[in-house]
Amino acid sequence: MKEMAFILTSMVLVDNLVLTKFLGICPFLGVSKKMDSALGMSYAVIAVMVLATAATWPIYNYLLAPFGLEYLETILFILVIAALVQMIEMGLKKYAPSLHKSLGVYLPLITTNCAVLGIAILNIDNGYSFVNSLVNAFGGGVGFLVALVLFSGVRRQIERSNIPLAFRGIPATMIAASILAMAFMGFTGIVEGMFL
Amino acid sequence: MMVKKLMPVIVLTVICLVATATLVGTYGLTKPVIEKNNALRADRARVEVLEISGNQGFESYSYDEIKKMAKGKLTEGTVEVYVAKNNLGMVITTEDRGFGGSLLVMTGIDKKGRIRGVKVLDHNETPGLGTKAMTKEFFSQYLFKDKIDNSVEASDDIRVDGITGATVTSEAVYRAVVKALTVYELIGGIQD
Amino acid sequence: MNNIITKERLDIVLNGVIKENPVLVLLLGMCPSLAVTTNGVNGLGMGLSVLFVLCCSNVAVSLLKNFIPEQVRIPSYIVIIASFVTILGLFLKAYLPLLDKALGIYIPLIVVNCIILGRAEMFASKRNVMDSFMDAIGMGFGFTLALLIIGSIRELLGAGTWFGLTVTANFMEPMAIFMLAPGGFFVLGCLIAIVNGITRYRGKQPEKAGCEGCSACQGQTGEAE
Repeated sequence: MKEMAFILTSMVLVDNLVLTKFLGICPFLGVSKKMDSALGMSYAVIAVMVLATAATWPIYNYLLAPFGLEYLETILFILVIAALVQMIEMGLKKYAPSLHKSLGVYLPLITTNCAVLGIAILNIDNGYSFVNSLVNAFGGGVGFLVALVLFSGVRRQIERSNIPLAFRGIPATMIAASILAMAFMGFTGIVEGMFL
Repeated sequence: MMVKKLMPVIVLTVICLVATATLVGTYGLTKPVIEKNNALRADRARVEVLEISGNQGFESYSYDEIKKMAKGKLTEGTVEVYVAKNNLGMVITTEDRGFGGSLLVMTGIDKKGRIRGVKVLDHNETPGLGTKAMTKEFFSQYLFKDKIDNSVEASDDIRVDGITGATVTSEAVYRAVVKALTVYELIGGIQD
Repeated sequence: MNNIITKERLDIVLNGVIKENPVLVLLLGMCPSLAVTTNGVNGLGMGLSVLFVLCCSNVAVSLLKNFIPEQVRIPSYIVIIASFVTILGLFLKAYLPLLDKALGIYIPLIVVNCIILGRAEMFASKRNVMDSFMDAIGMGFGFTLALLIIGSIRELLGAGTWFGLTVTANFMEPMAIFMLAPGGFFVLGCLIAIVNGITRYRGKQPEKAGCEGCSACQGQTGEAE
């Protein structure tokens, strides 16, 4: 239990996927303009991350590792994620049309979101157990949500301010992200203090 | 008609098969090189922390063997134990938690139980900050001590200091080295 | 033999390196550009790794374009790219283990680098092999150049060294923050601003590209074009 809480907090605050590991920068810059699209994208990412981990962890540990096929990890994982996203999309379309309407546009973008493949590989690299992997994936997704939602507020302010021409758009956003990343650095070490 | 419908599936399957076959081939080609490199690197690291071992190499002990030697009381975080073939010392790899996750530390200990070398193998510490606690200069304070203590009250001959800006890392390294010394004690040092 | 390298093909290369630089102009492949560029060597290593995969995948996709049915296009491209990435990973592990360790998880993540799938989808699936190869060379070198610049700046400011050689560390205290996450965002932001400024100065409207371009990977921009 303690370990799970440890993983969860450190994934959200300390090892934030977007702000310290630079995973999922594209959607971070792309959909953080508005709060509701940031939320929609994040929910979809959380769901896909947890499901992808639930699928890839058993594949690696029961199918690849026992036969020394670890090197097929990348190719299998990305195929599993692509298929999973496709299946979720079809499932939502059929059984939950309203949810599909709000999340559907973000789903296709998720296959190439490096945070999803990243978390699947990180779980294996860290040697987490199945449950801890799921917690890690969930925490990673929540961290993604926190970064996007916080940042959508920042961006609203940026859009309204008078910035030198050359810095308008992406450059200003990047520099704001740099300051946000600096703020998140303040959390480092906090988790050790809380749980150990 | 049937063939046309199945065509995508067939093509995708063929591509997957060809891809897998290529990968199997590449893996077969690179595997011996990777293994040789890993073994060589580990060997070199061991010689680095225990220079007195000369070129005779090391004998590795499995986890169960070490546990038996330590009469079942092995400290948590022990990864590997290697004893120099010339019986002048042993190299113990231990693990501890640093700033960015787990930290692997290799400690060379001679026959008299004195530290002869410390090396950080694998880490996720912050470059420029945590890495300050991994330099040869920093580790020189550990050398030739058979007991270490990082508290302020400790007497000079056993005291080791942390480093500003890398407090967590230097403490993790310290704990890992203490573990290595404990393992050495538990095993009962070098038997002739 | 002479007409293998035509002016048109050189233009394709130059286009990728400068005019449509994937990182600084098209804003693609941001994740590795930020993550591994803590020093010049890593930036160069990552750039060349992507160059290799891009060349192989562009050529392979261009060769196979007539055999791959429309419905399974994206999965096929993903399999092709993932195999080349794995091959690269194995060779790096075997012959450049230190670089492999430094780039770590970002090697397998080349698979989802928007540049590679994007070029396969937008260029290689429509053009002949030689053009596709040239496009890969241009884009790959453009990516490498951008990463090398970012990595050099961060290493110089963050550690006072360049490719491991001490440059300014002796008379200027290095600012470690440039090696950390905030420094990455900051340096890339400034570089893009400089490029924007130059394009503006030359009287051109900066392209409204961006991360929306990532959807290219899903084949959406393919249709939009």
